[in-house]
Amino acid sequence: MSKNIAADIMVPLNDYVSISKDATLFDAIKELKHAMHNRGGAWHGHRSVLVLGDKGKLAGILTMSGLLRAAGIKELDEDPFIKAESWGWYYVNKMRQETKVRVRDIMRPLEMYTINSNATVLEVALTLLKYQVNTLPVMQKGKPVGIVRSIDVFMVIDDYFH
Amino acid sequence: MPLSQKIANIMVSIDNLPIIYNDYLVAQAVAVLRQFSHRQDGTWYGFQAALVTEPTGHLVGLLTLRGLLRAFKIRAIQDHLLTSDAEVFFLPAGSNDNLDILVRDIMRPIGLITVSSKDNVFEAVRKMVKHKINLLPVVDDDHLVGMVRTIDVFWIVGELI
Repeated sequence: MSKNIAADIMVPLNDYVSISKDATLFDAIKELKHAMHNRGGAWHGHRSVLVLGDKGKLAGILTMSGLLRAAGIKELDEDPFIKAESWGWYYVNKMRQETKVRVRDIMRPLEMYTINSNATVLEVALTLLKYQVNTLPVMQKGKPVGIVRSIDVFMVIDDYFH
Repeated sequence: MPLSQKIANIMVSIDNLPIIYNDYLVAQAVAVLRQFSHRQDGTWYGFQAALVTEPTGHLVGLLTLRGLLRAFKIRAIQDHLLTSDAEVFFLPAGSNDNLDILVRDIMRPIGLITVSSKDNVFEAVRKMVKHKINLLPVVDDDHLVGMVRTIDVFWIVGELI
């Protein structure tokens, strides 16, 4: 059975850990870390968290790199007075103290980048490239049904390049 | 002191990374990546990137999943050129006559964005965020010694918070 469309290669939504959009940045890091573990030299667990909004509906996605980016690194990077060693201290403290930053402020909203469940694998690849992301929510009749990632495309790449 | 964790403590050693040549076909590169990794129960074991060298062994780039996605894009452009009605048909400079896509067409050149194993882990965070990349080469004295990934950095940041 060949896998030609997003629906064939995507990961089901209930494979993922989810978190409320009102959770804090701190909660999100803990939650994602909790879902990951290293066993036998491999990382188990997904590298994103689903963000739930009102009535438990999917509101967005929060990726690992999105989380790292969240602590206002841009400001720290541009400060000429902070040295690399103490930079770490500022960064960690900012992450700990940013109790006002909620997941909804830093997540990627669901509507931002999506792909249809009957998009071809080629279209999935081109869309991932176009938006410079590694993860896309898959929509069917306007409802999210799964997540498709760069690695899911890799798993079927033999069908396209041989 | 946890905040002074060095990249040496979190990086993946070069010994554990697959190496491919820049003139490999996409299919050959994929075969090597598969050899170095496998999927079991939905978990990916191994690494999703390879070091790219010239046949001489000189390191020239990295091949990541993003690079493999680029192969699809090049293929789409080639298909479009072949089926279009354009009277003028030209290929990008340096491409080979038979339209095969090689690793050198899709890899990320090794470039200047690197860290040292003696750097603080936050230096890796800073560069990954600034340059929007998930994989950083670790270079000491002009020698590649390892790679550090978003997941390695995320783990240590999670420990510190």
